[in-house]
Amino acid sequence: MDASIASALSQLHDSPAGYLISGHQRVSQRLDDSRRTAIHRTVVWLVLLVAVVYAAFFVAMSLR
Amino acid sequence: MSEQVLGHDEHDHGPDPQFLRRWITTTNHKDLGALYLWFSLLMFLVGGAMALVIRAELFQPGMQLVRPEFFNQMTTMHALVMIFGGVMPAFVGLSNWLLPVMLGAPDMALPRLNNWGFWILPFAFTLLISTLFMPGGAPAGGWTMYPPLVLQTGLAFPFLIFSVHLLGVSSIMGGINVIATILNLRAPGMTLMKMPLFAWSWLITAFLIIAVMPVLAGAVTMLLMDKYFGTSFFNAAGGGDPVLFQHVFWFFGHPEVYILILPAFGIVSHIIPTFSRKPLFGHASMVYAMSAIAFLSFIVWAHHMFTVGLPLAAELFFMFATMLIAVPTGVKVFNWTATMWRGSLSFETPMLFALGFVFMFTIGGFSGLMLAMAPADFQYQDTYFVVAHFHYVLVPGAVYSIMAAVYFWLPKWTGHMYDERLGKLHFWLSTIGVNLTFFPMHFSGLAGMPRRIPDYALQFTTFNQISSVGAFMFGFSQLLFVYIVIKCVRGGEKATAQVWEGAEGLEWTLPSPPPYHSFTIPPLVT
Repeated sequence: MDASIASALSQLHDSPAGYLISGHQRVSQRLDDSRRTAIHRTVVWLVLLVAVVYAAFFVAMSLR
Repeated sequence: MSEQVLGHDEHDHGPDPQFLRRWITTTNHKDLGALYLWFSLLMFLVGGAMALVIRAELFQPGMQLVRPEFFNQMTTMHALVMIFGGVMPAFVGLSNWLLPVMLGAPDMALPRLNNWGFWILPFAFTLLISTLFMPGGAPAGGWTMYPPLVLQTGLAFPFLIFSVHLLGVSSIMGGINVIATILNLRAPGMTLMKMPLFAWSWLITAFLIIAVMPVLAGAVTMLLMDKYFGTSFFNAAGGGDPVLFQHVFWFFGHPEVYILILPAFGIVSHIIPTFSRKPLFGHASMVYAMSAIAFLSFIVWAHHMFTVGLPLAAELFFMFATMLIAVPTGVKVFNWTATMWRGSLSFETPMLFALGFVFMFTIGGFSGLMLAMAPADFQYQDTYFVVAHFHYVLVPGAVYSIMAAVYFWLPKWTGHMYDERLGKLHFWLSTIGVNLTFFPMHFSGLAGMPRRIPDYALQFTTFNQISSVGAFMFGFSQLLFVYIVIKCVRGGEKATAQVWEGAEGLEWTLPSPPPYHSFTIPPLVT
């Protein structure tokens, strides 16, 4: 990671708003890139699942 | 990630010292778990007060205390508050607190989403409860929101629909977070079949939430369109069909019932082995049974509407499919009983509530089988028998499991033991109260007393008086629960890390209370 980004993150982390991201960083700290990608992939699949349920619902309603 | 960032993160800071900022901005799973649990306790008290208004009015035949319109508002709001504000957030709170420490994870996989998911709830319930103070009052057409009745709701209607949408959004975000956590943040060596049953129950529940919450959102949006935008989805005069709403609602509603009970199965599957000092009998069969129950929950919805005039083939299908649920449920009850068989049992408060759950949930299950029989259901439909059935499943079922979980893990959360004597008193007062309240409803229902009615015929008086006395006894004994929890939070005998002699699982390897950030280094599960 670029040093300036790391420094910005570090400042944000110590600011009041930083508490909003601290839990996020705690998780990030434990994750390597492949695990992080796996989480993102899971979320994308689940959001797609929600979209499919919505789509199925509207198709079912328009077919009747 | 660069060493610089890692280096920065290594200095563990605790919670924000400023009280308000800590609780509003927190992304810590323990903080959010606590927020969910306190919120649900508040909602239990609000919903409980509404139940007591209902029971006070029904103490005698005739109108005594409230107007019929207000009575209907109370029945509707009681259900909405208890289901969406009480039971669901309590289970989400337990999942927040427990999943990371059970799985060996540092936090939930999506901590910022977690914060958002919680803080939507107070806004949603402010919208919903504010309708009580509006001209025309709160929604009064029942929590099932059947049209055309619900379309008579006044100013409260858009507030109801919007709050249901918000609750759905919050639940879906929570569901996504749980699945992402369980699938990605388990400790090394913890295969899915080695995973604790509470995590399994929540994995299945989260998929149910994702599958059915959009259906509820779609259905209530169609209601909104019918009321304000001139559509006729459910309006027979415009070519629509009010029964369609019932199909769509119960396609959501029946899996919702299992959303409210599957996490309870998980909790009880932790408590009974601990106080039996034996491993759970049939871990894998418990997983398969919960999965089977979740699958079947999608194909039984029309048992809620046997009397609307379904084709005979549909009545038969939904009758038999519903009865099938008794098989995996029976497997679970058998396994809990077999776990206790020849165990070294002790009866601390969590075990008492878990045993109360097994006995009384089974009573609710049996009355569910009676209701599943289509020909018999024509007599039971819309009577107090139905009220007795689902309250047995939800109060000594879901609510008892939540209380069992609180007593079981409270020493872990707070670092203090609760007052065991008061805990047992709470259990017995609650158990006597809950049975006095709901058991007589079987009889008044079988004798034909309709539900959601503020007045009744004289012959139902005695049963109703017993129910009302029981309800006040149950309601006020929950104040004892609040006292026990607050007393434990404030101090008491120090709890060890293990807390219970027979407890097993990663959460018991952490000190009591666990540090603000737990499992920074993942534990190895063998």
